[in-house]
Amino acid sequence: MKGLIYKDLCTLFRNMRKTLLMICLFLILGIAMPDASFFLVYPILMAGMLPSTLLSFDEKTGWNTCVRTLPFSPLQLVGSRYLECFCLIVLPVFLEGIGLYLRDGSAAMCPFLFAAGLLGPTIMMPLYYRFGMEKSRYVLLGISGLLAVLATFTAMDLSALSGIRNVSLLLIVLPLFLLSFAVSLCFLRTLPAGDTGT
Amino acid sequence: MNAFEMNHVTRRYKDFCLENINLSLPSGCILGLIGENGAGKSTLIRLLTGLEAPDGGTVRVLGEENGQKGHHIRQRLGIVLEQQGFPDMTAIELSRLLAPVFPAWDQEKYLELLRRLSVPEDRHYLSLSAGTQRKLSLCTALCRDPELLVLDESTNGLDPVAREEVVYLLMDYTRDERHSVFIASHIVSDLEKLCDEVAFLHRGKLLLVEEKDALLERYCRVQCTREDLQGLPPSDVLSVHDTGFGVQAVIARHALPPSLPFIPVSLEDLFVSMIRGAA
Repeated sequence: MKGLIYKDLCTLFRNMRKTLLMICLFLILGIAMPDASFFLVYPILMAGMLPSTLLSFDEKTGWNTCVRTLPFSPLQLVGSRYLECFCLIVLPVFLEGIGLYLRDGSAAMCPFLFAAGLLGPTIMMPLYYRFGMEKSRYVLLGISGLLAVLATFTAMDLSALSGIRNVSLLLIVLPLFLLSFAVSLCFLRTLPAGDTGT
Repeated sequence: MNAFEMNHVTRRYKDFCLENINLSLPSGCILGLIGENGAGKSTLIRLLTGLEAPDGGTVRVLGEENGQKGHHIRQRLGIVLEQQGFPDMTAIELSRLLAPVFPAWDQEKYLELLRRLSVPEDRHYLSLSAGTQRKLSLCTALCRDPELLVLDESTNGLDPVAREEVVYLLMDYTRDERHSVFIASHIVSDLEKLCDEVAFLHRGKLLLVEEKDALLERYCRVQCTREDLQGLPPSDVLSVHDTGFGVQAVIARHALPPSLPFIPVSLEDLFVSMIRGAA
């Protein structure tokens, strides 16, 4: 797993320097501008999308096929991705937490930010491991569309969701993140490389 | 023991089918798989390396059933694909990625191989030429002393000097009788230098699997007239090609009329003749 993380760090710092720089910039703006909470959430969402971008790189270079010829176990392959994902979100949330605490004397928003960051990869990663990067985007669009149609025709009351705040949201998203990991692992274990996104 | 065994392996696609493949490689041998473009060589290698699962039949590698659960077998395998797909790292960075998963990784040997094949240590993978990328892949495979080396078109894109060097490297590697090599290519001349056994694959079917020297002994090439060939049984004549001044034919040596001079046949002659016969 050490080697896989080293490889992703190399890719991250070599090919995604601009994205990392933007994350830092928005992070500073979010802390410096008390009224712009968008700038607090945006860098976390961007950080949450980094693992998917790394997966795209792997697909483009053919590493996702190559890695299946090497003695990495499915647990190492999926585990390294989810661990990176977790760390890439924890780091900016931690920095924002320090900034918010110094600014407002409270970092109560951090669990919400953390949950928001985890949500994207929680949904995207299993889709990627099943369908590959390109197809998974269409599948995600399809699922979102289907949910929107369902919500419209069944007149679902989504306003209850807006009541979920901070820690409660994290308590919902964290188990989902773990479930997402288990599903991704299951896809990688049971399907040969030619039948998955990898 | 066999380094690998494929029994009745079938893989079907919409427009192509690899059919009932029975192929094995005894330990310590070099088996060359020859096939034209699109014959199914890479598919066969993907099945062998567990990248794809067969629709029917079994694949055993180094005595174990191959598949996704057999990732630990890959510590004993060296796989060089036509497009290896390494990440954009330098040769040294690559060793930091790969060395932790291969207990047998020999860094000194790796550096020596890089020097021997003139692979730069400090250039990123994607900035290398296709030939150099292939040489780098070979270095990463050979430096960990794999029991079975699987090469897919690994000498394609190499200049003649590098190809020669790779052929010598593989010859060195197979001096140890624990080592086996399975090499798929359509560059028949390289396989002719290296292989103990050859297999011909055509449109998803194995035409033959045989010891190379015996095969080359069994056939010969003659330049003669059509009349010279008339008395021969059709099964002994592999191909006849009209040259304008007579014919060039590949025939079984035992059927050779005593009056006809013959030229030793090459693997390429044989392969082309058999493909024409199959078509």
